[in-house]
Amino acid sequence: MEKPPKPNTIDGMQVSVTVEAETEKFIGLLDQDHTAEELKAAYDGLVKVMTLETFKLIKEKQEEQQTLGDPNGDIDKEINMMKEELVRSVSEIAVLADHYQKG
Amino acid sequence: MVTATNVLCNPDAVYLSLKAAAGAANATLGTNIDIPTAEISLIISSLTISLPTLKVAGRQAQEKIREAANHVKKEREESRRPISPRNLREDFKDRKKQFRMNQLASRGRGGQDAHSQEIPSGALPEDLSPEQQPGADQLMRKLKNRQHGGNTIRSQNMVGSELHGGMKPEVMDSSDSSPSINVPQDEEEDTQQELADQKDEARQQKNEELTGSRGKSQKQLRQVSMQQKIDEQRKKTEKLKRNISAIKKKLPILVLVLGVAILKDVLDIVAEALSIGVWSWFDWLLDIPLGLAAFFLQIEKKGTDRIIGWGIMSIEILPYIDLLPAWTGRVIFAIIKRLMEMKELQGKVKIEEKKMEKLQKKLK
Repeated sequence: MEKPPKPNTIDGMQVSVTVEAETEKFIGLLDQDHTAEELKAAYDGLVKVMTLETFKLIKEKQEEQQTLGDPNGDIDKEINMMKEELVRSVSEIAVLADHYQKG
Repeated sequence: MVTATNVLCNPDAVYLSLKAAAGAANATLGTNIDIPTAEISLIISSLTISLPTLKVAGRQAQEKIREAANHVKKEREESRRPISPRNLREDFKDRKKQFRMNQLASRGRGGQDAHSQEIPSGALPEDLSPEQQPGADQLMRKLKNRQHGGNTIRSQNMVGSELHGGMKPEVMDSSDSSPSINVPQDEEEDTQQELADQKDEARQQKNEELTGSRGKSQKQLRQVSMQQKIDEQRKKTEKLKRNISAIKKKLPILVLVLGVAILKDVLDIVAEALSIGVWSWFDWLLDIPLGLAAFFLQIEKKGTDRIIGWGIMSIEILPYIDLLPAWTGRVIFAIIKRLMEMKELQGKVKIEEKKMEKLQKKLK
């Protein structure tokens, strides 16, 4: 049997969930009766995990940049794109969450 | 029209969420990464759109979340799991399952205009009901498929294959009544062909795993550090070789000096024998220029050797000591020292070269 992934720690709180699990939780809520607080909590959880995962990738890129150098600024561009994508994704999720909350 | 100002996703709310999430992530990872918050307003204002467009944006966001989640999951699995035939088979099964799901979803999209499907809308707003929005219906069915896992897919496959041999009403009742399940023979063959293509793609992807982005960057880091070690080792070896060649260049000079020293000693012995003690008081006229020449030619490398050499020379001042071949002894002593040093350096060079070969093998 495959072992479950090790839990991450966010704000000192252990969350044994991956982005996928948070996504499932969030999408699952959209399909059920939910309170605004529940939706907000699912949204916050998803944003936190997505941000953490993005930052992990950015950290890796920064380490790569320090080790190998970045004369053309390609890694910088990649990092900025990752940040923009995070902002865009979170904004879109916010729109979705809000729309379902209103519905 | 839904505007950004009256919803949870107004720029301030998104900014606060992202700020909190970024702070937590930075604290967890020990990083100091900022987020381009100036863009949030722009993005949110661009999302202030009409309801149909908002639905499309919502669906896209859902797809993006799914893609991101799948990507992260896949990366984790790839980094955790060793490549083995069993893992390859499992990957293929997953891909087959995903492909089947996509196919069913696409067929469902094609056939749903004619047949309305009973999917509970729950908290969905009215405009997102399947009749109004086919895309939403597709998403909901995909979500249900995922939630039910392989069972739903298996049952649907079974229905699809048994339609040719004979229907089973109880199975038909329990499954989706969509006509998309009725798969003709030629379509089934196409599906088999596509599955074969998927299999090939899965194989190629596994091969590419070896040069995946994460693995590649780690490999590059290892290669760079290894290369640095090899460069250091090469510099060390080159320095040792330079020292050896310097000694080799010095040896002919030392042989010449030895010849001069033998001549001087022969002169000393003969003159001392003839003058009986007088010569030793005057031979300093020759000893001083010869001593200076020996100093500038650096026949002795180390300070202690020089002191020993000059000590032998000083004793020569004493009468009758000239009969001893002091100069010859001094130069022979210096030559032996140099030869010993050269041998030692050659041993070191061999050791360093072996180390470098090992590093080069590792790098390959």
